[in-house]
Amino acid sequence: MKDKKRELLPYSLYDYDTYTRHFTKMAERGWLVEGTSLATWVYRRVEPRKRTFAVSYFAKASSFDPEPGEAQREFIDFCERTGWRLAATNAQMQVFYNESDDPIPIETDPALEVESIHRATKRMYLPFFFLLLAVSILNLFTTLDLSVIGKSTLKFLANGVQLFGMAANLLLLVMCAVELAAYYLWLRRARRAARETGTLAPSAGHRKFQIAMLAAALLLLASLPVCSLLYGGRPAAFIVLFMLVLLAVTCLITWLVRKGMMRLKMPSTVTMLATLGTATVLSVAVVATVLFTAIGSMDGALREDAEDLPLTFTDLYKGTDYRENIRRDGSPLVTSLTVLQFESPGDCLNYTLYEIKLPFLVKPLRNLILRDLEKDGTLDGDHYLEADPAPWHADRAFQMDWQGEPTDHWLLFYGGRILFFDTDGEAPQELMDTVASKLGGAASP
Amino acid sequence: MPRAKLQTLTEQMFYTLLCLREERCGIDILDLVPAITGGEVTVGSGTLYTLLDQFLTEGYIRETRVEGRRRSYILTKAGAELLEREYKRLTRQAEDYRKYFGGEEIK
Repeated sequence: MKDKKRELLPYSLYDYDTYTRHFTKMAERGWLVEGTSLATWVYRRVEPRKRTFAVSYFAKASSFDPEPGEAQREFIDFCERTGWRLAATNAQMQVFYNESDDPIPIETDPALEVESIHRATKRMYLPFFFLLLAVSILNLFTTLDLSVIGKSTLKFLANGVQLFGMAANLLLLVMCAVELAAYYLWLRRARRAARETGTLAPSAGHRKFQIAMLAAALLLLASLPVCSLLYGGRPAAFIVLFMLVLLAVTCLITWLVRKGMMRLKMPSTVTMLATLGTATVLSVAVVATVLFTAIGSMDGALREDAEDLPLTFTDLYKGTDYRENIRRDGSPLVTSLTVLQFESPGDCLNYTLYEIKLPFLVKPLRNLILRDLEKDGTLDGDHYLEADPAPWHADRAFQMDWQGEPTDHWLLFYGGRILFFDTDGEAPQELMDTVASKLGGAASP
Repeated sequence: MPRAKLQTLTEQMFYTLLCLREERCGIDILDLVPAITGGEVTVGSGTLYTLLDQFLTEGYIRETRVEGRRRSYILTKAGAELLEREYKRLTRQAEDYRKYFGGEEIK
């Protein structure tokens, strides 16, 4: 029979009501909370009994303290005098329980209690959420700036990792904004209730939202490797899994550093700096490693399987001794395939095919690109001239133009497929027929 | 501190300061307040800790002794004046009551 139990509680630091109720219920079931570890609350098995729980806030405490400081011990002594025993701490939050029938509450002045909670939240909780909010806004602006126009939008929507980053930042922004707004609303309500009625306002407000946010975050995290494998191919999935493993290792090492420093009884400031330093250095190392791996994959270290390509060099040209570079990206919205196969010297097959997966996105995404092309013939700085789509069996065809001269670069629209194709010289009708049937999905002429 | 920088004192503030007319440590106050009020007033341990910390910061009490984790305090002149001001306010209220009800008991 297990004597320990762990639980993830996604509630706000100041939500004393929910924590108190939950710990009371757990104690009645025979589980007494005894601390926190790896972002979870830890319980030990005890005799099931009714115990009164209270959550108090001690602003001078820190999650980097090796053990309670003198001031905190004095506070605990005060509580023990009235029968309250410390069960667990989580940064400034102190969880006490009392086994007597009708104990004197730890806090008997609601106005002072509200200010105690506010002093505690100002230490870590509020700065943490404000910082996360700023980071999420910054990340969203950076991402949106890169993807507002033309081909970049397609690239962005076809990049599962970037799309995941955007969704994660959006989730983070909503979570932080709601958390901060809920806190300040509670603070206003609690101050007014303490002043006008001498009572403490209930703290529970958005528990269902917090549980939904946690579920959404876990779902998003799980979807990343799955989407990479489904739409991006094996190299992309490998990089994503590699990145997730590195991030998990980073979290574990950072946690071990903090625990180690606390075990060595280092001052809390030293432990905090060492923990933040470790997290920063490891995060930079993870980003560098992932970038290096991604670049390696482009150089062929993680070669993409060429077997299931819709159009290959041998479909158009005679040679077989060609070099290649293939890149797949994708998300549930858009997939992209870039193929470069060439003989040196000799023929060259070069195309990028975007496929819009969701029918309702086809029109807006096509229009986004066509809008710029129809306006001034430019797309991402390149100049195109509209051409007859009939030889390509396409809906619309554009040929890139360089200083008044047509080039070999074509932009072709086939329903939900958008194709950038290089003809490598004059395009015979046979080539255009093959491209239309293999890449455009058009019926063979 | 709330209550407009101690323009008025709560019962808990009043009795905490009253207990510190003599040198006492915090834990003694926890027992003394219910004892002198016949259990009418109790101060929670967290509330008392916050009160002592704030009275100390405001200069209404001063630390006299530290024995291990037991810190003892005593009222300062400013604290005594604050307490006296509150006593006068309460007395004035009691006198106003007597003036209006003339010592009658409300039925």
